[in-house]
Amino acid sequence: MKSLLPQSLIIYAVGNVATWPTLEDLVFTRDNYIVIHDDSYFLGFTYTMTSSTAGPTASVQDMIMVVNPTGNVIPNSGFTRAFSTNTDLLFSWKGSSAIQNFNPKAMPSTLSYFFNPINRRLLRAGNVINAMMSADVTQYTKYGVVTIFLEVIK
Amino acid sequence: MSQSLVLNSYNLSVTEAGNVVNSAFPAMSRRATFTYTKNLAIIGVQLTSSIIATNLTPALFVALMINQGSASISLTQDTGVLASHCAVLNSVAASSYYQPAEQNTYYMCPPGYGFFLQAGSPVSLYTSTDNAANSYISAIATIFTIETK
Repeated sequence: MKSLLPQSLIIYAVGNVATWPTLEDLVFTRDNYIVIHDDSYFLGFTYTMTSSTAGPTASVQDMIMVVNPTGNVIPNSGFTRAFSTNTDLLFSWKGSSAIQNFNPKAMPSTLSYFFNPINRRLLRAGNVINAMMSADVTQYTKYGVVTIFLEVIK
Repeated sequence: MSQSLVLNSYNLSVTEAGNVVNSAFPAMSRRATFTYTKNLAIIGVQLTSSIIATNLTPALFVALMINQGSASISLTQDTGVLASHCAVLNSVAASSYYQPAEQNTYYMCPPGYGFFLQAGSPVSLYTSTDNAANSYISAIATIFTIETK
């Protein structure tokens, strides 16, 4: 049996606009990152989100997780800037309280995912995993935990 | 030809009343912990949580954390800082506004993989709620393990 190394990022976002946003309005206001210390396989992750407040007003939040092989920490000041050169998207997630109002089961707050070990992604020492959240309405705070599962290559 | 492993399961449960009065996300205020006495590998985890509230706003957050060292586990409020060697193995969140206010999450590691823990390593289940107005939560974690040499 091989040992999985779990590493967690805690991220949160404070709503940053007062009205329903366009995609470009969503600013990833808070982020966190992990520097990969040893060559590792990226095997999977879990993600949980919640909101400090809930209400009938539509509230959108997104999370993206990216890897930057060059080791640079990715700027968190805009959606498009997150996809700079050499940045690959690992995962994205979108939730909306408006959708949940109509269908509470539409947006699970927690998910777990393991890649097929045969297709695991190799991460090199110095790579940066960066996770970011957004929230669109100023009175809402979103809070999330991302845990990535790594197999360190001996 | 299939191979069978003998599984052990450990259960942690926590109940809590709301502990803050504002909308800021609260610290993880209640904790149940046990410490392994043998070298083990966690191969799967399950979390179940529910919330009872008389108003519309409370949210809850439950986190099952491990520390691959021997120190206690801490999670500070909003700062995103986990103590060294600590990680959240699984977590679940819910709000009484979104019915049903129960959440379940479960996973098993890929075959041949597990989270290795040395004897003496703690595993903790944390809970929090964000509103003190008559909200109560409960959570149960079940951890599936096999012994390692």
